[in-house]
Amino acid sequence: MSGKKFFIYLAAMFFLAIYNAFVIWGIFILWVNARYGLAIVLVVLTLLIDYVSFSRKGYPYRYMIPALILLFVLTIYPMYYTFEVAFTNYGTGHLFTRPEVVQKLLNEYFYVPDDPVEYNFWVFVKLKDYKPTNDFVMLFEEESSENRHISPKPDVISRDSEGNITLARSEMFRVDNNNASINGVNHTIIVSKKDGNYLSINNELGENYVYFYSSNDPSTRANAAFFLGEIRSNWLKNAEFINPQNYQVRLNPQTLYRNFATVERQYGMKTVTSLDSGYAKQKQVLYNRQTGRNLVEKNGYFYDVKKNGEEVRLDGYISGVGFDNFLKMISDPRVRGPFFQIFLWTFTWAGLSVVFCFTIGLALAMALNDRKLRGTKIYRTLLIIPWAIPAFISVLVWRNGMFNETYGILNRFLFQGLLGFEEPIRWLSDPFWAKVSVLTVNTWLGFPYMMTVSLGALQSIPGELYEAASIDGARRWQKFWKITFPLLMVSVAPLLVGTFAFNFNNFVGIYLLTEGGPAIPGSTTPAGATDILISYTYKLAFYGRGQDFGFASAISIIIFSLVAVFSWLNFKFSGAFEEVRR
Amino acid sequence: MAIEKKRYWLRHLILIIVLAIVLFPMVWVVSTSIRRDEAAFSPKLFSTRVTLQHYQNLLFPKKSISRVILSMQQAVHGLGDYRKAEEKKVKNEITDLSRMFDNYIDDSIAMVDSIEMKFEAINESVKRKISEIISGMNDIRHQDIEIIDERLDELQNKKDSDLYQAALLNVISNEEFSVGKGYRAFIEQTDIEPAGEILKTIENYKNQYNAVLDISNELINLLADYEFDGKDDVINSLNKVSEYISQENISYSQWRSEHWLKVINRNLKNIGDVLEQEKAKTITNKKDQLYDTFKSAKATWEKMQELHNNLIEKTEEVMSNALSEFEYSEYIDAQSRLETIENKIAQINSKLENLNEAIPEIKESLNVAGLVLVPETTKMDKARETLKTFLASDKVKQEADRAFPVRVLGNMETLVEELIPLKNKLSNTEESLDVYTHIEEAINILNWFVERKELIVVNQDNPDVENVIGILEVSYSNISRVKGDLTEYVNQYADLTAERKDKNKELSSLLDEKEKLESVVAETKPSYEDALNRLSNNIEIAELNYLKDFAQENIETIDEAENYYNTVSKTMKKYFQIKSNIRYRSYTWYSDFVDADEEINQATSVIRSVIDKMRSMKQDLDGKILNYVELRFLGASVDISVFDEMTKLFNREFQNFNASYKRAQRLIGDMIDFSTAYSGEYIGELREVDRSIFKISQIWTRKESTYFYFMRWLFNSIVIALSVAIISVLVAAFAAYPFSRMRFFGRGQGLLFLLLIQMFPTIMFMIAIYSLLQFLGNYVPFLGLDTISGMIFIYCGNIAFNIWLIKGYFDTIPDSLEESALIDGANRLQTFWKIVLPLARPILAVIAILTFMNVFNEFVMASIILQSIDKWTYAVGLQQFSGRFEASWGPFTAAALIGAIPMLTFFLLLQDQIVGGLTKGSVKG
Repeated sequence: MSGKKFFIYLAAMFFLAIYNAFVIWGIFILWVNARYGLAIVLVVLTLLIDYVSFSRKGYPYRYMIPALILLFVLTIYPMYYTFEVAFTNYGTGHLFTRPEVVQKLLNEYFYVPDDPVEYNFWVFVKLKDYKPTNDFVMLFEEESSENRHISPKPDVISRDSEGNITLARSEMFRVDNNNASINGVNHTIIVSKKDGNYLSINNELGENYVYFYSSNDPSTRANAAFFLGEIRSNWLKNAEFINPQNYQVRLNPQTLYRNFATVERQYGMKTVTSLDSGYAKQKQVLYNRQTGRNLVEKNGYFYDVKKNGEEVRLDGYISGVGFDNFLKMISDPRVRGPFFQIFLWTFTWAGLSVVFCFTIGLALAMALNDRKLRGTKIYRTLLIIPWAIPAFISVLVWRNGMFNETYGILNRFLFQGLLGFEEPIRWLSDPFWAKVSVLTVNTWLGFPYMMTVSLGALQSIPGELYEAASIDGARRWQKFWKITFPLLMVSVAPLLVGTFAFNFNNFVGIYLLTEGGPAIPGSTTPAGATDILISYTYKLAFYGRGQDFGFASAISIIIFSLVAVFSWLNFKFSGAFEEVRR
Repeated sequence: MAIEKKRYWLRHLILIIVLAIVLFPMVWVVSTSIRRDEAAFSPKLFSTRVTLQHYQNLLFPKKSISRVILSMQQAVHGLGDYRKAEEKKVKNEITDLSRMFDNYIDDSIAMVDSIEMKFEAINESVKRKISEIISGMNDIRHQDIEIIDERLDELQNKKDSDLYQAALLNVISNEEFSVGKGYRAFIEQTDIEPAGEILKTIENYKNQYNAVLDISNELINLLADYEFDGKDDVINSLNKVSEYISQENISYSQWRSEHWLKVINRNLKNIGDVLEQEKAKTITNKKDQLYDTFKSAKATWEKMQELHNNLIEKTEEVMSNALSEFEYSEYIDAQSRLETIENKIAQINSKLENLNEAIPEIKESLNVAGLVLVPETTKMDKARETLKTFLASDKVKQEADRAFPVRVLGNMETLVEELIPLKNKLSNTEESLDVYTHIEEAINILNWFVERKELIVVNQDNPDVENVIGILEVSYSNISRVKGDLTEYVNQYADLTAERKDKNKELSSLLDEKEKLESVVAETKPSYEDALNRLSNNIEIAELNYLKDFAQENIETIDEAENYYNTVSKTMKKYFQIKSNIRYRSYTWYSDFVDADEEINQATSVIRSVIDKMRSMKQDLDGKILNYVELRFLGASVDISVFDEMTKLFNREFQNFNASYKRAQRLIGDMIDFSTAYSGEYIGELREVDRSIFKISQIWTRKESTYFYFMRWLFNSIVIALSVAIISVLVAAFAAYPFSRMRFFGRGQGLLFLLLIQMFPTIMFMIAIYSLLQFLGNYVPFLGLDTISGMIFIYCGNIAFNIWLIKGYFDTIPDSLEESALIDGANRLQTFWKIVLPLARPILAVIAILTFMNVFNEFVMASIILQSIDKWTYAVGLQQFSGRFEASWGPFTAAALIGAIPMLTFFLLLQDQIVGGLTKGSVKG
């Protein structure tokens, strides 16, 4: 018994140790990548877990560890993140942090100087089963001096998130009399005795590289596809070869990559000293090595200043903008107009949805709430179907089948067929009718829920009340308004608030039907006439080319606070607070 | 009691109507997903031609021919799905694909043969039934006569001879002009000239028409015995004469250019060289006679047409005479004038709109220009004060020895003269503008100085006066600088406002007139409508009379049946609201059949040629395709053009035969749905043909690539939803246990916190979660973007609500069970695992299923995170099935139902629990 217990204890400790090791590694990476938010969340979480694992008092919390991990990473961190992003310009043009952008400027921009040394090249590949592989060596020949060099396959220095090589490097080794020594290994160029063409490069280790491709040798054109698709696009595009004079040699853009040339990096970093309130202050700045001018930074972008003073925008980085995203909602007229329109429509939409669903649902519930009525169960089950079918499916059916402007059932049969309308109703492209459409579909989707809960509530109203009322001579309407409705409201009111909150964020009901459209004219953001806040946020962040995560997050926060108010109201109504205190 | 019962009946009715409306979309989905006719929006909700093909396409997708070709091409060239495939696999694939291709071709041939055979058999059999068709048509003909008679009796008292003539003219002007029976029948009844003349001309034309045909025949006979160059051409051309002259039309110039001059005349010109003189002469004479007769027939035709036009021109006149007792022409006149006036009003309104936009703009500019005057006026006012003080002092000289003229004063005088008209113009406008006062003030002050011109000139040496002059010079130059603008704006403003005034005046007079006309129109309208009614009654009488005559004749051949149908059906449809297609089914079924036969023949010939070509190309390919694959793997770039040719052939020809087949299918559908007396026995055969055509089109149509991913998406969805359901229920159950059974620091706050965060929909976290996964993917690849496991991970974050629900259920399980176990030496974990968890199985199951459903239905997160098509979930993939064309509705609805039905079943089974759970959580979804 105690042995078993000890074993369990040991196992638990083992897992805890592994978890801690993993987290420390994770935190290290996060810190390096400047993801402080997530790092802090992880640190707090791990301390918590370690504490509850060792402390007797923490026993109840041990059950919650998995849930805590999930909640922290997937709920609390995103909330924190949203808050953080809301105060930045994160979005199209500002997708990377400043250090990342500086690195990119330093490493990825080149220019070919006025008098470059140009190199022709020959590619030699190793064959495997007579098929070319991507193991290759390069032979370079200086155009001016006919000096030749051999380079081995470049080594990968860095890759991007998709695994593409962003930087690879290799060295050039001088060829003497068709021989070159690469890191102590002798390589020999084999030349045809007949016509002097290259045949292959062999080395001391017995490796054999066969002549494969050269851009100025038409006889190798058949191999161009493999060269371009495999070797150039993967390996040579971002490769630099260091020549004996220690210059970088890269594919030459000026000859459409048909040869190589010495290049210089476009931007460099230098330290400038400036006087700041009497003290000498040193600052690192980026400058253009070709023109010698410093880069200018404003609005989260780097600008290159040309000779004529024109500023050319380079990459942008994420930077804090304070309350700009919130102020934009109020100050910029081209954002403000649509934003307030959307804000208002969100409330209208949620309100009207609740009213329609509740009215229809209650009417049907009253009709079904009669024990003497036969088939109640069947009616109820059939009427629930719109609720039971996943909303994203039925919304698509409505959009494609019912509301299609040329084919749709509604236009073709009801309005143009039976009612004789001449023009088709533009269900989805006219602002008014688009609103009618989304409300219609949402009522269709939502009334069964209201019907079901109202039916439950109606059945719990004791029949004696009605009998007593009948004896007092109350009429039907009086009974409804004086007995049914108030008693119904006691249990249904919190659900109405809940439904309001749900529809407030009912993304599927809007986005799948109209994508928020038709677009509001004159807006700089992708705002549409039927957009509600949540679909607007979605479109800002993920729609089209211009993404604006910062602004989207700011709106998210507005939604956060509004939903919190509804939730509070809802708890108040439903007595959830009491349940918690129990 | 009786009343109660009646109320229930009403309630049932209402509920059923509500149900019908509510469930209509779903019924439509079901019916569309199983119909074969691709008529998703047909008024017939349920098609008789039902198929499960759409489901089969999605659940067990098969490549169609075009796709097989594409796949082979990709396999050989190492593209698409085969980018990274190994040589052996590629070879196997190609062998499979090649076999599939051959099978498809064989199947197609078999199907085409069977279709052709069956239709041939039906054709034979139908030919034997022609007498039945004709007798059926004769039966209908008798019925037609009866109902026409009845209707004519009803209309008897409406007939009015004047009106009848007007009606005839109406009918005639709508009728196609021809010498045929229908046209003549109406002309014969017409009393109005030149109807008689037209009749005569018609006779004339007929004679000439017959003569032309006779002469050309004689000529053919004459020529038959001789041999000469171009004889065949000539005979051929002569045979074609009848194509250029008929009872409906004559195309003389065309005949002349195509057959007379080019062929006949040229070839017969030198006939004298070949034949004996006498015979050549006869032939030449006959030839000339043909030409002359043709020409005169044309002249007659033209005359006839002219007469016809004359007759038609009289229509209006005759009509207004016949309707003189009604206010017919008054109404038309008023109506047309009303239209003109309304057009004018619209024009003026748009003009006014423009003016109303332009005037405020110009006013704005005017005011801005006027503001320039203000500082100058103020400056000059100060100068005036200075001058006044000076003038009041004793330094003033009344005369001077030498007084140079002061230029600015003269200029100011001109300026005043220029400003005054501006002021006057502005005073005439409706509105009083600020600029008016500014100008007025400027004029006053300028005048003041001008009036004291002499004094200023005399005293110009005085330093004060000198200063004043300086100020005046500056002000003058400032004012004169804006003067140009000011003048222009004032003029524009005055013009525009004047124009607006005029237009308004015009508008009001037009509106008056419009009102008057409207009242005239309203007054005359009843009478006009009455007149129209009378007229249309008479038209009906005229047309029915003709039809009655027409129907008297017995139908004897199928051509006559066709003629009868074509002539009668339109009018019958117009006056008796019958569906002509159904009423004359006896004939229309036959004509549908003939059309369908033609379409099928057309399609068959095309598809046969396509199959032959494809087959030979394929045979050509069979020998070398594997060699090519080996070559490619050896590094040689291969390019097989046969595939492109196949694809091209397919693209070019597929639409041709497919369209024919589609039309044939539609006709066959009608033939099955609307059968007639003699066609019952073919229905079985027709159905089979229909099915075969459908199979062929399934083999050949281009299938969307989405079909091939559908099962994959479904699988992904199920994997994700199942994993999330299991993981999150377990995690939530563990977390809920201490909340239910133990007391610890932060319990209340924790519960509240759980309630709070479940209120925030996860959709808001998408930005954070997206970047989180992007980041994670760099270090833990299986949790990155575009991975199924990453998707499972983030869905597991949605557990707060589940913890809350499970905690509630744990509360209902009595503590005593656990307590006794604890006494027996079990620990907490054991009691939880062995006692509480099994007892809570019902709620765990419900929550697992609910989670499953929620995850299955979620598409926003999934569509952001899953980017490659083979990783998508069902919910993301379904968006691709949007129905742009009628043909894509079947797949879309089938795909929707495949996903919806399991969810629907789950939901209906768990109805009560879901309602209970959601009432507690109070939020749907």
